Amino acid sequence: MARTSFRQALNDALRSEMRRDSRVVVIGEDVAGGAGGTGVDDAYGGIMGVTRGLVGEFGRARVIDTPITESAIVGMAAGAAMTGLRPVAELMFVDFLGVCLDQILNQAAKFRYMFGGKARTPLVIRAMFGAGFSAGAQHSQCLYSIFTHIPGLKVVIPSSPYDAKGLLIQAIRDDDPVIFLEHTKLYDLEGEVPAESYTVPFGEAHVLREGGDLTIVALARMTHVALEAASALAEKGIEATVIDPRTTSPLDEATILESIGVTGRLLVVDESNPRCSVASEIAAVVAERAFRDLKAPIRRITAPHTPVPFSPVLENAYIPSSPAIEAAAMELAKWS
Amino acid sequence: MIWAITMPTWGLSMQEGTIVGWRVAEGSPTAAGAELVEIETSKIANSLEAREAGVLRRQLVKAGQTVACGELIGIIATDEVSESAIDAFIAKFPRPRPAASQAGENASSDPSLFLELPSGRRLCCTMRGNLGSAVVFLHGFGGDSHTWLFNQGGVAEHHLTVAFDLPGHGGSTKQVDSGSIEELASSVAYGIDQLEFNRIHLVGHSLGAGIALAVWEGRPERVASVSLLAPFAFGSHANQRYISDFISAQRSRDVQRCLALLFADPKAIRRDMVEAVVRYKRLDGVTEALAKIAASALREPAPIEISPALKTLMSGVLVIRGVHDNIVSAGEVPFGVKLQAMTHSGHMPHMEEPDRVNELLLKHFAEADSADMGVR
Repeated sequence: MARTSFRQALNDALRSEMRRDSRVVVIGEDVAGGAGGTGVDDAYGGIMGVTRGLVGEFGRARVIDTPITESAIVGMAAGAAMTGLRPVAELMFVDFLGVCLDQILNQAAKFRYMFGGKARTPLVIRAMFGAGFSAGAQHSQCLYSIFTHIPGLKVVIPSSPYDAKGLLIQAIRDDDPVIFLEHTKLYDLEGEVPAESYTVPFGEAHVLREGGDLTIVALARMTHVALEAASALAEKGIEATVIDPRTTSPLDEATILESIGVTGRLLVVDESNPRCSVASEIAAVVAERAFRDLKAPIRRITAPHTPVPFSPVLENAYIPSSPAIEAAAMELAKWS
Repeated sequence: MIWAITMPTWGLSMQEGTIVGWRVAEGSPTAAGAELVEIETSKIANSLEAREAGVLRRQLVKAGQTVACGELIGIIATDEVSESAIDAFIAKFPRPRPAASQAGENASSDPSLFLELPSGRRLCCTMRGNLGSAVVFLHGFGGDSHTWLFNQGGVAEHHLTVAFDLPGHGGSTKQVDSGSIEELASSVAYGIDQLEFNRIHLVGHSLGAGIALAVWEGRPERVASVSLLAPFAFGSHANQRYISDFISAQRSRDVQRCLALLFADPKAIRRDMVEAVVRYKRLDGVTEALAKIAASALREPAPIEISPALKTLMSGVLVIRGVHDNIVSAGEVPFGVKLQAMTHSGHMPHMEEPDRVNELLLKHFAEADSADMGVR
């Protein structure tokens, strides 16, 4: 099987679904290569090159460049979805959520409910997120907990090229609005990806590693940091299970609870700010439903409750690290 | 007598080996089992032992040189053989087949080959080894060529082997017409024809065994021997509950529960096996293809009739069956067939007791090959 980058896996998913279903359209800033310019079409394919080559194959009617107006991008996409298309809208950074939140929160997420189930909104909003590039406080956030909080939205956060392709195809085929978040640092990650189309279902966690001593739950880039820590812990005789929920709404509580039944210790690793976060939610679910299984207090390793620093040194300190996970796991392992 | 020494295939991923040094000098005698030459691969260094006693007459590949698996690296012969006879032997010795028309960018590490069927669909197969008579492996329902993980490499040390992915499975197109045994067999037979094998040993597991019999029926002159593992054949019944659960299973835990039924010891199931099956089942078209095959090939008991032409050839058939098989019932194995019960196996004897199964297969092939020689 060919090794494919996370970026290329997303491109494959978009391309195969656009071929399969003529209702699928792509909308966003520079997704074609710059509207109104006189240069070569398809020069870039979005800021991360994810949509490269699509305008050449599918034309400007299906790969639509927009002005820098997130409210228009999402509003247009939500309306198109309601009236029969299956748009994939791209927000350059999830941080720009602020300027189009009403379109998402009060419009797209509510249509099905407010029209008595008669309206469907097969909309995907893709956005880049996460720290690690010194992109500053307004271009580095992990805002998935905000979307996860809103009923009517599905929230998808892939950690591997295989999952990226399968989850994006699933998102495009889903009849509800899906927020699809791509971590900045993962685009060049390579992995085995089938050439054929496939779907990865929402609400099924991926158990990345199995161990009997503690359960680490992590998303996106943090799964890789957690796996690194788990390898280091294994050398010290502590075997960790690492679970990637893959979607935070729906959340596969069963897989997490089952693992806690074996290990009795939970460590949640989350690049988000800690208050009202996905990490808090997972901790709450386990405290509520698996209290009897717990042998140790639940621990969260998260970013601090601060903006993401611009300084590379501070940014590095801000992001949860493998040594921090290791140290917390060693503490948890002492409880029995 | 002249014996070829070839670059061995140690393990599935070995494509080539480097001669570290010869342990026997050219012209010196060697005993069977004596260390002959040290070989290094990308993973290991190991010594190749002489299979026969004789004189090491030629070292054809020098220390430091790297050649592909199956290449002739030396000659052992008895004293009386002339130099010119050895030269003739070397000239005639078949070169290993080049890894032709491979798909994908990393062709060197991926021995998959894609054949185009008359329907335009793709039939995928995995080839290993390049010596001796050809062996064709056919997996069962819901499997793929990886089911032969513990078998193909070992058999490939002595034979040219090809493991097909049945239509709807593995790397083959996930589309079938009716999904009947006849349809699947005709696709496989077409693939065998494309590969231009003269004589083949057919090895089939479960549904693949039923297909092997159908291939045999269509091309009896091509088939040197037939080996059937946990066969869906001779009137056996398939476990319908397992089949419908397997088709509908979507989540890892459901797939794992299904796979547990296949093995005498469910602990034999590894997480990566489950993940591979889950990933297969997520591919577009797989559920539909499996449902069609189940409905048309597996719902009724396997055909019990054997064509009169084959009835006299039953001594060329080996059946290997696990005593703890929960998936396919025993059926009525015809008179003359060699029957081997595996006491520690369920439905997957080739994975559960691979060494024993490989030994039985190689012995069965050797007997058929020597019978072939007798006929000619």
